[in-house]
Amino acid sequence: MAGLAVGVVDPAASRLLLVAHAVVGAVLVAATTHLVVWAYPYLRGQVARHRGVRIFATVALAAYLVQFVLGNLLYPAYVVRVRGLLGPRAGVASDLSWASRLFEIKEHWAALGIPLVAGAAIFSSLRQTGVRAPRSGRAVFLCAAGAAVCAWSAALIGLLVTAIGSVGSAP
Amino acid sequence: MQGHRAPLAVATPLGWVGAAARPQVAEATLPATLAALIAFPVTYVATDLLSLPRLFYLPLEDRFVLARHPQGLAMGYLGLCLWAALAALVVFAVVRVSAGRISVPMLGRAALCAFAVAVSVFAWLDWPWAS
Repeated sequence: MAGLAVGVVDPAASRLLLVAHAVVGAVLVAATTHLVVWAYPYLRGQVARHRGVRIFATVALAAYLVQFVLGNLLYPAYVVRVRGLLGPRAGVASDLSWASRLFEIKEHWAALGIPLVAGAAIFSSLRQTGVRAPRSGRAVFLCAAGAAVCAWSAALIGLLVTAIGSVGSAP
Repeated sequence: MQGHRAPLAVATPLGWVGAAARPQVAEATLPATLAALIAFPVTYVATDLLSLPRLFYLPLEDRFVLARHPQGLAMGYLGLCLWAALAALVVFAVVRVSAGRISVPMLGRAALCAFAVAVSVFAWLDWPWAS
């Protein structure tokens, strides 16, 4: 047994995981957004807020990894309990397969955000050589912006799909 | 009060003077990380589009299989992430060793293109309102 199916066999566990997923998601969105704002001066060659950038990059990376683990624990329950309900079904007029496809896009975009947030953390940890922004400053900002887009889209699409069908819904 | 603090590294036409080791680390890490940022989305997209063998999780059986097209309900998401992360780590290590021979601006542009293509591919493949 791989143990990933905890949310499949136990709806109470999947509800708990979903709440944790939402809380960590909020932290992730906040951390990546702050990282973008704080790294923006790099584009103008300023490094005054470098310590803050490093802190936000580390928090964002930690939150992203925790979120990835929580998402993977929830995903089997989503596949078994929710995805089947979103497609066209006999006797049901509404076709919600668009939500299922939107969720697949979200999963892929969220995965692509992992190297971006890791890149932001690595680039921001590179040593500063003076009062000017390092060569990696532009890379920090672009990685942060990409990771923030991934985090925001994952949060919004996740909330939308959860509003339609949730892993913890009563059968 | 200068104390015993290590001097800052200073760039000169002949290279770094002062705490030279750290800037050299940064010089090597920058292109290596950019190359890894290219490898991740490229491997991720290629593995999915070409249906390369990867780990699939079978949620109803609660086990992993290595396959191209497994039977029944299967999740290939973890396998995609695993292959992409491994490729990124390998490329990071290789470029780290050969740092200095690859143009950083070119790597940066290539990384931007790789992510733009990867994001677009999955939006196109799974477009929610496609007829």
